[in-house]
Amino acid sequence: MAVLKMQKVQILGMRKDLKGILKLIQEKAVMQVEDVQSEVELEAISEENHNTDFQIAELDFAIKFLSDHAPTRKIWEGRPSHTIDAALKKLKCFDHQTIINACKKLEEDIVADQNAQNTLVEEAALLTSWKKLPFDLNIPRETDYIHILIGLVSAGDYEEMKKEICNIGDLNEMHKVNEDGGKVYFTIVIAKSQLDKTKAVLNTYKFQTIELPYFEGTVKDRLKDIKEKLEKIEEKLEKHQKEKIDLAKHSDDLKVVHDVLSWQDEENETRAKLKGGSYSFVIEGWIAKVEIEDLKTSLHKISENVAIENIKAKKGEEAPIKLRNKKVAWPFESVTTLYGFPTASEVDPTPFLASFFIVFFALCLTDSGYGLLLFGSMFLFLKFFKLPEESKGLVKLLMWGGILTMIAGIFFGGYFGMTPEQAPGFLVSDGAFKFQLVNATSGNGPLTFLVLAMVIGIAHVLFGKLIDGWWKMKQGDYLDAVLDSFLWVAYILALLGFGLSSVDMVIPASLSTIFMWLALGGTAAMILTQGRKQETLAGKAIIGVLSLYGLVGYFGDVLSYSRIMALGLGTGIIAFAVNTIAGLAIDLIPYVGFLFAGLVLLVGHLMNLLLSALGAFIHSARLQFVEFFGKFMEGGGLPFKPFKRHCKYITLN
Amino acid sequence: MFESGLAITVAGVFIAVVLGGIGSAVGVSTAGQAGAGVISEKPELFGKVLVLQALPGTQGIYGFLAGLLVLIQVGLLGGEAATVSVSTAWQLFFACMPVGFTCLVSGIQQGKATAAGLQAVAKDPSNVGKAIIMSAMVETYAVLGLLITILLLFGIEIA
Repeated sequence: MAVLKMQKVQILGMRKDLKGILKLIQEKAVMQVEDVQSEVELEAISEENHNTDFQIAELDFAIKFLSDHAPTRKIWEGRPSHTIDAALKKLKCFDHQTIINACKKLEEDIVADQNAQNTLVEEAALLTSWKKLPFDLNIPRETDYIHILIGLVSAGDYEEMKKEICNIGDLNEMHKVNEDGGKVYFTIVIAKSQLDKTKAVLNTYKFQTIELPYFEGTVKDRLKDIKEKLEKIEEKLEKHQKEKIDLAKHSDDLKVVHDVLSWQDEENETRAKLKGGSYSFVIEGWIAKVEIEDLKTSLHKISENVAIENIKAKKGEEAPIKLRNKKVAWPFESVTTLYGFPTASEVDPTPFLASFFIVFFALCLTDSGYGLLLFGSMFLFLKFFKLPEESKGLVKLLMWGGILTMIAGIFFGGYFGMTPEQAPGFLVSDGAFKFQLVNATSGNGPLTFLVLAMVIGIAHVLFGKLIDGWWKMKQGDYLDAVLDSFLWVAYILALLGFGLSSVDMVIPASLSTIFMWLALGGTAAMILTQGRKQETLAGKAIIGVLSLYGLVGYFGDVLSYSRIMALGLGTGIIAFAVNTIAGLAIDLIPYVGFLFAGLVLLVGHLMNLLLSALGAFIHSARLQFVEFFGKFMEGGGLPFKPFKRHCKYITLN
Repeated sequence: MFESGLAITVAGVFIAVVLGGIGSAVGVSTAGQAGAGVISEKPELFGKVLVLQALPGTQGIYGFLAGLLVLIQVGLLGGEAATVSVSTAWQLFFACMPVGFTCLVSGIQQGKATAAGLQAVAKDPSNVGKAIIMSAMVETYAVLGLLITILLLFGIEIA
């Protein structure tokens, strides 16, 4: 339950065994392979299959292309699962290249047909306005004597313009073809001698020239022709669609091949890191110390001529971080990894944050009804959905969060935001909920909740500091542990004791003198010790006094836990509001009011649960990362990335 | 209106709900604009982007919650409306201020922080958790505003 100790190792073996050994390491997924950097220059070991990259890209394309028609899987079934052997066999016996080529060809055809379709549709749209064009579309637009222009002007200007153009000379002839949308569509035949003058007039009226396409026949003929062509394209597209559906039957197989090839790709990348001669090879990498023996035994089963030995890490090279936690704490690794990894010399915070995190989460919800819903849905999710291993942690965490929320809800009297009067009888006795300890919405309740949040906060912060001290002791830094960690904890406890006893709360006033001296002694100890790493005496004194300012930080940290109370109350009040609105619906809407009320209850409570659970998770996590982690770790470790079989579309069993 | 206790109370509700609402509306919109950019490149990230976009929406809920609490306290919601004295009403009015103003500013600013976080998500989707936490840092101050408002509202005696 901690950060595993990592060891850098070197595996030496014979070239003929390389394939089997790589297969074994990839299957076990226990080793992060690094570049071999030996002083002796050895040749790099070449890759076996060079174009896996390209093939994977092609497969990705085909899978995406066929995704609309791929056989659908029920959402709870998850990814299809295969054994390794079955998957590898698929690569050999399924001819994926043919399918990919067919997909490529089909995509090209579809795009070409769609483009043709668009062009024709656009042309048809243009021509529809010109149906009454008095001449064929293949008539020359220019002869020795005349010019023909086709275009439009605004309807209001047309008559005036026509008059002006007729005035230029009677060789000009205008023909109105159509009027639509405030525009007049017309043709004009201009004598070449009058071309410039006429064009000038046309320009003043903002004449817009239209280029009609060339065609042997009238506009109507062309429109008929387009219609026929469009029908043909339509038929072709339908045919393509059928072909696509046929091809999509193979998409599951394509996915298997994709993943198998991506394993090969990973193998190639790993091979590129190896070095070797004609007969031997070297692999270097990180492995958890506890897993070395097991790997050694497995390696020796493959060949007698293989050695695995510990080597020193390069200067400045940090060991990658692999966390391993017991079953109970394991789901909380998802919270830790959200923040990042501790470094190799730091403690794994997962087991320590687990109990606090789950309690914070529950207190931010404090509703048994919601807790039950959360637990139930996550339980079913886990039971009936095939989830990938890495998502299971989060689901389990939420499931346990649901149980704790139920308990918190019982203590705080939260049942879907109901008041005792609204609640069913078995939950209530004497006008209050059974087992209710705090009523957070009346009297001293809110304050009690707030104080509870703060107390948990103090415990959390001091716990963090204690972990810091414990870890420093483990590393042998006894002085730092005592002065930087335990002294702080004692000092804060003394101050708290003094504060509480002087107002006679919890601690009797008679003890206040003792606590006062403890607090004063603590202050003196802080001033004397905290500046010990400075070189000059003045430096020691200044840093010592300034260290007291750290108290403000702790004060701020503890206040931050008040958010637990605000979020906890918020959930209950919104739930109450949903109930009230549903009640109003029953009162105000005759006969069918209960239908609306049911809808309001269902949607309202689900939304509230969703948003509140999200908020509870985020803020509980923040309290860990900012207020807790800061006390004993910095983080920034590099995650362990083993050489293994990554799957995108399938799961392995 | 300054003689009517109820009118002053409603003005307080207005402050809480409207300022919180404006803060969230602006924040969610800022985040949404950045999110639309992300999904135009990577539509498969829609789920993650949506969660991030929803984050600055909490301030509106906090404002709504405070407003609702006032309505419940004075019995404007489905019960008999209590007669609120002018001085009590001013107390309620000012009790709504902390949540209103903190939500207004933190909603808008959280939107900006979220938009920046979305760019980190666009580069590497596994950044989503970190982006969420960074965005939630801004929300803290709205939570604190809400906390004080709630404590005030529970503390004020309504005749």
